[in-house]
Amino acid sequence: MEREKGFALLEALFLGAILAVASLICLSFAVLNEQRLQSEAEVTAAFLAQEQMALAEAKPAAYLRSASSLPWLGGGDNPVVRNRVAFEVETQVAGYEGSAFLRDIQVTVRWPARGRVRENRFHRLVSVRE
Amino acid sequence: MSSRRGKWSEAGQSLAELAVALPLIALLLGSLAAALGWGLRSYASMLGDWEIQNQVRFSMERISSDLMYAYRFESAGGRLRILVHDAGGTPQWIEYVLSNDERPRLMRNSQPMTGGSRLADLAVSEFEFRPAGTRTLFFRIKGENLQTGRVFELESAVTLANAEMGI
Repeated sequence: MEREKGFALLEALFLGAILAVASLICLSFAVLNEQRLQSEAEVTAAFLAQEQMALAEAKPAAYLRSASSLPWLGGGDNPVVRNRVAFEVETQVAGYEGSAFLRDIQVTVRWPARGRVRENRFHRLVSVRE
Repeated sequence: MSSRRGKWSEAGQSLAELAVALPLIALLLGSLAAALGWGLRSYASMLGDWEIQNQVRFSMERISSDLMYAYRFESAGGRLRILVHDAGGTPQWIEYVLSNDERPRLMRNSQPMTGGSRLADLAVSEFEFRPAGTRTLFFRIKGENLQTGRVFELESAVTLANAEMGI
């Protein structure tokens, strides 16, 4: 009787170890895949912000001096759907204390991720000297 | 006598247990091997999808970097040409083009920027660029992992800081 109990415990431990390893493998895949998707979204957001800043920089100086916010300049709708994710691009233009000839462009990119909204902000100073 | 019977009895019981346990263990190990095989394939696919993301990103960053120090850009016949100065100040053209291979690669001065991965069957399906103003270039790269069908694309633009200086 005693031996049977011991044998059952060994079986349970063996099975438990197998299930634990299988669960850990599945969990690590899920975590890695989630990280990959998050990385994709962050990279896409950074390049969209770079695009918005470059297009803003190309605007005439007089336009940037008077603007306080900018629409999405890349064409098409905002939110911008790229790589199966909808990115909302918001651009604020503000004065810069250090110089009257500089404007501070702040691009905020937001996107949904696992039921939450993630956002990254990017800044660049742009000369508005004619 | 009774102890011997008990011993034989135990031996018989072990054999019966073994007869039941062996197929169960085979089933369990078979399932585990199948799950492990599926897991490894999924892992390889995921790494391949990650690889396409990295290759598209590195290519975009390289084009951005070239454009940031550029004086001029041109497009002709599906080729993007960027004029920069090398360290010695000598003007030098950098040319980006999509190759005509079965699995197209992005080429920079005849050197491949994408492809060649052991993790995935990669192809750059689109390389688009167009002027967005007098000194601004919009560009977009779309890559695909042909093993999984996963598509990843990035777009951006760069306004040339040195465009006014000319050469």
